Amino acid sequence: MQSAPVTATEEPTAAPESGTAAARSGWRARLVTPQLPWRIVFVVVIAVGVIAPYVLDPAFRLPLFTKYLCYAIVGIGIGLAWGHGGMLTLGQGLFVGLGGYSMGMYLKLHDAGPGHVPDFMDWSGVEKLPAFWEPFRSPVVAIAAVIILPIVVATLLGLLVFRQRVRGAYFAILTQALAAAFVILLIGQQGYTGGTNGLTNFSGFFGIDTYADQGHRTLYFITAGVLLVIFLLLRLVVASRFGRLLLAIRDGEDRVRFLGYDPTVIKTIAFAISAVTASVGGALIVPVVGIVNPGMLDIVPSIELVIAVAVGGRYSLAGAVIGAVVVNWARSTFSEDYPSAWTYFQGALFIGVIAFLPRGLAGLLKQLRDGGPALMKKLGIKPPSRPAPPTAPPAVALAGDQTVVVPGQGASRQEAV
Amino acid sequence: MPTSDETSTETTTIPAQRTAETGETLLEVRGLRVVFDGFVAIGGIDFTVSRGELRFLIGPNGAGKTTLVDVITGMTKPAAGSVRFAGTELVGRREYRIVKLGIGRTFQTATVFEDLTVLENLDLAASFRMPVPKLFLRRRGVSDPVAQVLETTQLAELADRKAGILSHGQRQWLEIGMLLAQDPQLLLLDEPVAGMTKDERERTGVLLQQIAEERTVVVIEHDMEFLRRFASVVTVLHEGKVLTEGTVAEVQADPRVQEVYLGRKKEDDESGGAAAAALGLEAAP
Ligand SMILES: Nc1ncnc2c1ncn2[C@@H]1O[C@H](COP(=O)(O)OP(=O)(O)O)[C@@H](O)[C@H]1O
Ligand SMILES: [Mg+2]
Repeated sequence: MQSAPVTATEEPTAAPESGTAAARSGWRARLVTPQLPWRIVFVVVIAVGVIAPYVLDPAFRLPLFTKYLCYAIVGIGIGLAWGHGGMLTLGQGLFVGLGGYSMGMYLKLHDAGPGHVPDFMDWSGVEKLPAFWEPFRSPVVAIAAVIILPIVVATLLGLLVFRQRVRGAYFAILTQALAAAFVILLIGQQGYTGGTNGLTNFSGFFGIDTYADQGHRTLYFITAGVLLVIFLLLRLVVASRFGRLLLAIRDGEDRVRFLGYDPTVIKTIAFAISAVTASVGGALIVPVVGIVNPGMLDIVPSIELVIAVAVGGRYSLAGAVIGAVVVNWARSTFSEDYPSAWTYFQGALFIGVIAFLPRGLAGLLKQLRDGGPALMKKLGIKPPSRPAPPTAPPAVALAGDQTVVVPGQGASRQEAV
Repeated sequence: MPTSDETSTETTTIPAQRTAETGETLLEVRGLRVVFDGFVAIGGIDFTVSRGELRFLIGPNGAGKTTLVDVITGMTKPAAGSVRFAGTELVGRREYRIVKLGIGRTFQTATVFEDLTVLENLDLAASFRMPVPKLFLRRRGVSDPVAQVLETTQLAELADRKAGILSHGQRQWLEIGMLLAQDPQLLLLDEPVAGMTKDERERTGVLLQQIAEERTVVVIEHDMEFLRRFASVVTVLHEGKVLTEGTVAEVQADPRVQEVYLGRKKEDDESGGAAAAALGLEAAP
């Protein structure tokens, strides 16, 4: 629980000041809050993130790690849509593809140079650049497309299906079908899209030499920076009223209508946000792996992303990041040694998490956090008290026709953080 | 004002600045028919509520009380008929639009958002008129209307607890509180005191009377004690039709009402029997 500082209102009884107990106990109490395990983890992660590019083998391990971070960006969006909004989106590959291909098209055209078509078009006998490729000569248009295309597609889709109250498995299957259709389209239009091979053989990325060690480090820092920004932004979204509303819709969409909100709008916005994150992740992965092709966007990788989020913990954004990194790292390590066993292992992992750790790895951290008060006691700090729910109903004394309402003891309450 | 004269105006937990002109028709249901797969749940109802009224709606299980509220709030589409609220036709409107017109409801089984805190539940209920971009701002503190509702429903102490831990009665109070935070003109409460202890029922009744001082309230309830204590005008529904309408005493004395409740008792209908007992109908005429 984040503490919600209460602004002074005319009725101080209704607006208890939070964290006063913590303030009185000095710096130790301010540091040692139930949030502490999370903060420690956050600091460690940032530290590891800064050191990683100088420790990891820049030619092989580092680009792999950067790739995991791209998946983490996609994963955060899945965490928002699925964990918070209850929209199981099994076709994020569609949006990964929109971002990936927007970026890939720009890079191909940049390499081809003005007036020329990309190499694969030459090979297919396409001599004139198709009209829909033309705008992607501009890097600005390409980057704008990475943001705008997924928003447009997700918004149209969302308004259409959420209004019809399509949800649950139907929604999941629909998103999956769209990803599959996108893949079929890409493969079928060989001359325009590069077909199964996709777009590859890029010479660089905005002046970064993607074949040099330093280039790999730069790409890593760009990706990690984008991940951090998206993570922090979406944390704000989740903590806002919008985030609360999203949870409410997940748990009782029909009830929310009677609160006066249109769930279609809220869900569509959340879905569009998840689409943008997927697209950004897709765009960043292109220079890292040097290719974008239909195999990266198909149903299987889309589902694997969802599995990774489930393993990490779909109810928290951090869980989505952890899951994407851990699962993909495990996959690389595992398949180096046992190439064919990974699929089975992944399946077992998924089932195990669903059965025993529904909140994923992040759920473990939450238990640690809930162990916080015990830790504080050890350090000699009084943990903020949580009032027990009163068993007896609040008192209303009925004195003849006179009703006396006894106000709640709000003022003396110490808010639990 | 048709509410009971026992109402105390000394309790100032609710501002009374909005007392509208009473008497004018606020809700008007005409020729309403609702059919579920061939089953006629409501077979032609006319039902009018004036502004400022505290109206009770009773009837045996399956009479169509909940269905009537469902139609008014846009959850169920009627086969025929019209529902007008302050002159506006409601049939065909979407639920959230009807809420925005100023109608709020509770559900027979209190539904609150268990993963949100009590405060967050109330805050969401109070914020529905906010433009969507503003929803992205983090809630800072407690708004005055929400603080007021926390006091009124005496949930202030539990404000930061998850709604999932609330007791049955507290949940119902939270749901009423959410309704108050919505600040509607017309409140439709579906069995708000069902399953409450006698004490809780008493407090809820007092609360409803306070609320009704400045708003229009329709309460579905068939506990006769409760009715006698708090109701003035009662509408009796039976098998999808309005059986009768009048004061508690009139309704109690109506032989048709006695038949509806007691007739069922003879047919060994448990709930009918219980309802008859609750109505205080000791003996058949
Ligand atoms: N969604 C529905 N589908 C089919 N029948 C329904 C539905 N809702 C209510 N009914 C039927 O309509 C009748 C009236 O129900 P309801 O309005 O819930 O009664 P009450 O609230 O007065 O107890 C009942 O016979 C019930 O079974
Ligand atoms: Mg009912």
